[in-house]
Amino acid sequence: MEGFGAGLIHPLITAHHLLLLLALGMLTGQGHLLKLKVPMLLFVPLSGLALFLTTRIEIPAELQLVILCVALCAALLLAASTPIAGWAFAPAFALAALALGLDSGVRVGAPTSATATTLVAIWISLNVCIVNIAYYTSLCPRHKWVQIGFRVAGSWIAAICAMVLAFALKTQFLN
Amino acid sequence: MKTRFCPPTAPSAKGPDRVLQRWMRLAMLTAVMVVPALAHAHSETGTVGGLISGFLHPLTGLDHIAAMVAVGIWGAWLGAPAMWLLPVIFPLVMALGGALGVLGVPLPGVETAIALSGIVLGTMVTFAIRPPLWIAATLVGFFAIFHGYAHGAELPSAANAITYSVGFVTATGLLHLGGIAVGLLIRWPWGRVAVRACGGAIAATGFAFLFGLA
Repeated sequence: MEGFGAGLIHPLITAHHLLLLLALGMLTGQGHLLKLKVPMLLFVPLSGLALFLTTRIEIPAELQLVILCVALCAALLLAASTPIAGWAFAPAFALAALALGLDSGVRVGAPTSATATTLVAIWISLNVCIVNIAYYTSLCPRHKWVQIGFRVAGSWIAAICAMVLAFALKTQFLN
Repeated sequence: MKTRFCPPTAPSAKGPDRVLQRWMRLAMLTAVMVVPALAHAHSETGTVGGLISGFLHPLTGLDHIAAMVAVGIWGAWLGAPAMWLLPVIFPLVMALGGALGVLGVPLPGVETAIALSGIVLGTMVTFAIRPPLWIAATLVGFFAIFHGYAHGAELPSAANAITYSVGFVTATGLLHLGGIAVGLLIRWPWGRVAVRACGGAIAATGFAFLFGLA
């Protein structure tokens, strides 16, 4: 799938990417104050760098497991409604940016212009998605039932990630 | 003297009527979205097949449905914080059981435990038993492992694991929410009777499965 449009929707139709974006975005938006400046100062360039690297190096398939692990951790914290120190988001965003970017490479042998267009679109989409999820989460009213809804969403995402990790463990290491 | 004929104005939809209309629209939309799945146009393979397979898995077993709804009803009966704590804990522990099932870790008595979950949780609701929160959470967590194990062990090998997991976690969560909605009827006297009757039906279902009658 190539092209600007395909790149824009890529994070939304890639399930494990979407899980990470949702978990990390909602966790970030749950804070008392939305602090995105430092995390995004890391996310924006690192995601771009990772996407560029996909055209230069071989990307291992196990990267999906890294994405699911980060999503699982974020979702567990979201479900537990644990207060997170502001500085902790920076390394999480950095790791997420690298993992998402490296896992979003286009197929080998694609024309250079098409590749570049797709990668730029993916880069834009990743950044827009995570900022919007965090922003709109922070706008949600601090009503008890809304907070419970986020905790339930976190537990669902964590459950999904745990199941998929177990399946990946079985297929890659036990078979 | 001329009089203008004013047709009777329809009562404006306010309050409960508006809420009811909203819920009916949502139910119709959900039904329309489910109809293509009923056509069984897709096998269990692939992304869409995995999602459908996972979503239907908790819904095709009456023992699963009974226990999931019972968790929601019991949570509503116990009140806050159990009402929202149980639906948060259950998917997590269920996923742990699911992981064990996927990995093929031997776990004895899965079907027996699933049947027992219906009996125990149904009995709790029928007799309006309100234990301390930690006991309720432990009990629910214990049974969640076995339910999750059954889902994980039956994961189709050709199905997309992520969409299968999304499907069955979503279906389980919706069953919980349905149970909570039923459990909220206890605010009325007739509702308490109805909810306890539901608990009895759930316990009876568990007995039927335990003794091989269903």
